Amino acid sequence: MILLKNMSYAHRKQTQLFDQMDWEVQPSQVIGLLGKNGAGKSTLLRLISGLLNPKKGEIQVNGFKPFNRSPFFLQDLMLLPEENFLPEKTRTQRYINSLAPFYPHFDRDKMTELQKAFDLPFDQKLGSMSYGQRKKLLIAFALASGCKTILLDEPTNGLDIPSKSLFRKLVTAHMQEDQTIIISTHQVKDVENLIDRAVIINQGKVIFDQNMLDIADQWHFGFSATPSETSVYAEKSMGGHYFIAPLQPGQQASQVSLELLFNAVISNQLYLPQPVNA
Amino acid sequence: MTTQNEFFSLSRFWNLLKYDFNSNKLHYIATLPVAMLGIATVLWIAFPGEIKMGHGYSVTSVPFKSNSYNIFLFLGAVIYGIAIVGNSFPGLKNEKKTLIHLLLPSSNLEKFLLQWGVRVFLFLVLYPILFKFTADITSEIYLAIHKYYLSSNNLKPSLFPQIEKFSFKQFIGNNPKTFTLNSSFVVAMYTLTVSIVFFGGTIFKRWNILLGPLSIMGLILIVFIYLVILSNILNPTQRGFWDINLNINAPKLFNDLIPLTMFTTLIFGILFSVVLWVATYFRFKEKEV
Repeated sequence: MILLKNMSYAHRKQTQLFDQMDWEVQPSQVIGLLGKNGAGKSTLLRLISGLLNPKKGEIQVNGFKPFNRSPFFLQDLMLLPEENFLPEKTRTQRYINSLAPFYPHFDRDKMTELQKAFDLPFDQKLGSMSYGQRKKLLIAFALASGCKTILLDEPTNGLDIPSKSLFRKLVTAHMQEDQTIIISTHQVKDVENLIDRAVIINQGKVIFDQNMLDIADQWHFGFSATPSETSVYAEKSMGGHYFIAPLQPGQQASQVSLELLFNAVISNQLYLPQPVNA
Repeated sequence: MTTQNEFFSLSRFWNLLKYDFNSNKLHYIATLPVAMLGIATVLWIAFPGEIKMGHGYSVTSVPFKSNSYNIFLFLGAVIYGIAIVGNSFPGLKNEKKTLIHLLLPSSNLEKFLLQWGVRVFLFLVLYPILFKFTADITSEIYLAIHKYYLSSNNLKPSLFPQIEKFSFKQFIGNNPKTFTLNSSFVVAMYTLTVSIVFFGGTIFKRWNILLGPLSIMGLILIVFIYLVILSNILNPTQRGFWDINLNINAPKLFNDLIPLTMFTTLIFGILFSVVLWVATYFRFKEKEV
């Protein structure tokens, strides 16, 4: 469980990034963390993982204060940053073997399975692997680690189209009951069919936080030549308009368009109930 | 329920050691031979007597005594200290590495102790042994080559270069009364210098190579000012304020067994080293990225 209480944070000599932020994440969810550039998505992941210390307020992850960086906390947390570092001269298996003992729930069979699924070389120098291959290796390691909290910062950046689809399938297939996965991304299409809950942060606050099922039950995402009369948000596109309108009684739920939802929320054009945890 | 200690666990420390070795394998493997080669090369050039191919034999009259090694011992300690200890916390050299290092499931104390053990303790212990070992081997090989050259060219045995073996006894002296204190003093100053560079590793990061030596110069300045002040206190009649007129073995305390000046410098060295280690730990513990 992740709990933020009145958490404030500012980078040195900069204006406040998060101001008295409250947020709560229950286990067993895949959360899409969305926000504009500079909204603080990566910073939030670093605060949750204990790489940064909040200036005010409190953060608790699985009962631990992250910034204490207790080994018991760290062995159940995996952060995959957008830009990663791997020792270039080390070979794949040696790297896995040297890192795996730190994670008590690491599943070697699962790692092998994921390496095969991602079509990764089994014993190659890390320095000779492509950016995408390195990223896939780290995603595979994160999923095999058995960590309760997995934080993925732009995980699909650098992945080719088949790998993006594979990423979604593998996360769904290998996620455990007690795990929480937070995916921070700009590539909303990549996580649309993966996440259980969409969280949007803007100007230091959680401005939107809802389950995907609730969103689908509440809103209709459509496309037509002219926006629906009841639409609360519309975007002109080639050949028509994408729009969001309240779901009418008897109307079938539509596929949630995260991109449309994000744009509507950010531009304050979507009527929103108070975010669940804000 | 876990039985491991949150602050220190041997199994976690062992995992950390293996991970560190895997990540810096080349560096660790290459360090000893490269250091030995460096010491041997410099000593070879410094030893008296020179065989010039096709041009005969040239020899200097200055013998190479045990204390002639000291300058090389000192320079080696500074250069290798900066290169090895100055590169402490390689996991903090840039943002990407720092992130990985801080998130490794191991306690802050274990991560600190690994660096302290490998960079400070091992360096402090191994460098003098390595220097002695390399100096002995180099002088043996050097003399053997010269012996062979002289005998095969029917040259006078008096041309044989005089090279003594390096010994640590010269730093300690023959007086058993001062043995412990003298050796402790040398070790304390050596440890303090290394500790400054170690501390610099958490502050200066990759600039430690440059700023570490500047810190040592700062330490030398502090010691100089300390000696000047002490000198003025103990010898108020000395001619100039900046003159150091100090007998390191005086005044003596406890039945003339402990010279105060050396003793206070020793305490200063030990205390400051410990303070630097603690400061390094807290700098590391509070690291943000």
